[in-house]
Amino acid sequence: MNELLAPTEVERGRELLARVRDGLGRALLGQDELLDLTVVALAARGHVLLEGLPGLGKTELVKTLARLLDISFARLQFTPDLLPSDITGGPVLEERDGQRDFVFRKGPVFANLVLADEINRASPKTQSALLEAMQEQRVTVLGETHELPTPFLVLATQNPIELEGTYPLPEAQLDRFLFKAEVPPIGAETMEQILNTRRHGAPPALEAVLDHAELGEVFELVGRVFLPQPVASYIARLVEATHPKRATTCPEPARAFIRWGASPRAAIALAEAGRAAALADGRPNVDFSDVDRLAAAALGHRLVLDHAARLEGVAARDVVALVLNATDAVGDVLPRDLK
Amino acid sequence: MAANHRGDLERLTRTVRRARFWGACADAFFVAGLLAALIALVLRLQGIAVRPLFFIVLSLAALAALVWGLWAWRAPPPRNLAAWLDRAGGHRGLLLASLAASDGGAAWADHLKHRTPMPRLRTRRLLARALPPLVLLALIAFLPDRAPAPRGRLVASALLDLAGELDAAAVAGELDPATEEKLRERLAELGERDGRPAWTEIDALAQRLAVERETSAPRRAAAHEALSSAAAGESPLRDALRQAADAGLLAKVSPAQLRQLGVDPATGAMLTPRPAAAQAQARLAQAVADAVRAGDTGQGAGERGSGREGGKKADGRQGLRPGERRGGIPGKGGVTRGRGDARLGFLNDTKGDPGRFKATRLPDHAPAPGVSRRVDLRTEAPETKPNPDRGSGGAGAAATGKATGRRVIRPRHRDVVKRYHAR
Repeated sequence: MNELLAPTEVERGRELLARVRDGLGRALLGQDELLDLTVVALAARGHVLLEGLPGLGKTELVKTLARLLDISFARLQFTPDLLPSDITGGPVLEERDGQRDFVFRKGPVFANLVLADEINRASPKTQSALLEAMQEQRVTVLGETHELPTPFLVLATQNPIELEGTYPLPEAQLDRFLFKAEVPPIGAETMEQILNTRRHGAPPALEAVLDHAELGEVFELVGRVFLPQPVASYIARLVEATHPKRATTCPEPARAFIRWGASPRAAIALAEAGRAAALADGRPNVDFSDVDRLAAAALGHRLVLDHAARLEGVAARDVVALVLNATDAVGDVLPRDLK
Repeated sequence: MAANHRGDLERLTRTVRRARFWGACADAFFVAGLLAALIALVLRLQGIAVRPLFFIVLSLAALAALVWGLWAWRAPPPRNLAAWLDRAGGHRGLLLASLAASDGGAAWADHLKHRTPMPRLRTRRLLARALPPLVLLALIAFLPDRAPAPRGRLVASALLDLAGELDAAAVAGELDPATEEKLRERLAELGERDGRPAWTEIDALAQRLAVERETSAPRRAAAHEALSSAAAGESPLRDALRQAADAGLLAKVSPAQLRQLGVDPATGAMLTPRPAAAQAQARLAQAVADAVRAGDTGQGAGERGSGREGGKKADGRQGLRPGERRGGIPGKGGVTRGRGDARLGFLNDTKGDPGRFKATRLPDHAPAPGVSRRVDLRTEAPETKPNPDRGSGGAGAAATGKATGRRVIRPRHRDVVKRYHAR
């Protein structure tokens, strides 16, 4: 048996996350869904891949988040000539007390919040330097393992256009991102608001709203949010339904578009994200609606789509929507005569 | 968790179970009832009484519905029901969490109170599935009774075949009139019987007809011979007339003609005192034999009226030959297969010397006389010459291929061989 979070605890968690959400909302206008996802990812300790056209505020979002949290922040501008050691750090020859020795100098990855800007511009070798860091929160250089600070969050950005000279992220690395959030274009009304309130596009001055201890408190509360068994079952069935060759529950239209389905890591990510979303919403438990709301962001980038999807212009988000529509949240409970 | 939600869950469980049970019963009754109605309809159309069967089938349908319903009685897992209740009540997972919590989610009870109560659930469409089979069964029950068929198609066909065989036997003169009349009466009785006649009765009649056909011919031949002997003065007339009466030969002669000759048509006894002279007896025997022969050739058929085929034979055009069946199929009519379809008779076997064809056992290894001759006697294997006409398969032929090339091919096979090698 489990013990639910007390209403006061839930309220405390919701209030802490709301602070961050409000701060982000002041810096970035007209991106409510994106900001919600970012807060959820922060609470779930997940990495986020932000994809959008230039100038939509991807980098600004991450920088704002770093300002709102009293944690260390590092920015990495990925370029084709960036080397793995430029990220992880490396041995440097140092002279101490008359003796020369190799000393490991930490790279920018040793920060609580890492902005990997335009991550798809670096070579695969450099991209892969982030693999171990993102999954295991540690870096191994010259056989020596170095633990990364806690929390460790990577927010990467990439541009969906100008793909010449870029290196698309491999599936293994995409799988390590909790969400792939698409940054949508903003409307004229929002743009007008930006023009009226910002000079040279500078965001308002923000102060840190969450210190390290409060962030730890949020993580602790998220970990205690209850995941009911039927909701867990729904997540499992949902992820299973993304496998066209294995699952009979995969809907017929989606079968033609999916080549490989989501991994178990996707189910874990969805459950964790659901916990964070429930706390941000002021609930002690995950609900089916949390799963429905987060499924596209959590599963979309984990699906390997078939060429048929590209030919027909079907995006991963659309395929996830097909799977969601075909999967019954509660299961076959009521007889068809009972209405 | 608030007590009313636990009550909601129990109520939902009961409702779901009830709905599943009645739904499954309705489904099973729909299928089984339609099946029963179909069976009842077929039986009614066949003219078979369905009242007991109707109720048996209906009871089975109801039983099947009950069993199926009990099988489906199980409700889904409670957590699924709770999940449904949670969603239907808009609890956003709080009900599920409270159910799983150790303290029943007491701290969140106030939040649950303000949610939507459990929606009312109603079971529908049960009657819509149970009604069609019932209506159909009722309609079938009200169908008017149909008189049972006198016989099945196969029985009717068999009786028709038997009638054909009887006609053929009568035309061929293989039956005496009394026997024929008895057989026809029996056939008519079987045909007119209310219930379906048993196959054993039909088989028995067919067997009896076959026996009569087998035994009547020798008796008639013997009676003919006796009459001939009496006409030649070699045997007594009295015995010849009795044999003729027994074999039914006298029935072929008109009774008036027989009385005129002084012979009782029924028994074959002499009506007048026996003529003393042997010549008179011989003349009478000759006259009776002539009359019988005339009856055999159909002169008396008009008076006797022995069936359709008898009438046909009288005009000398459409009569069937002995043993011939109409259309090659007994009793079916149409074109016959000719004499090949006739029965084989062994009545006029030759009376040659049976010792002439007596089998004689030859001594061992002896060549057949007149067929084989001894050419040589040696201890080693014989030398044989290949026979070019016999090909490579012949004894002693060398397997060189030349033999095959020299093989003589019959003209009618040459085209086939050419086509084979041309492929």
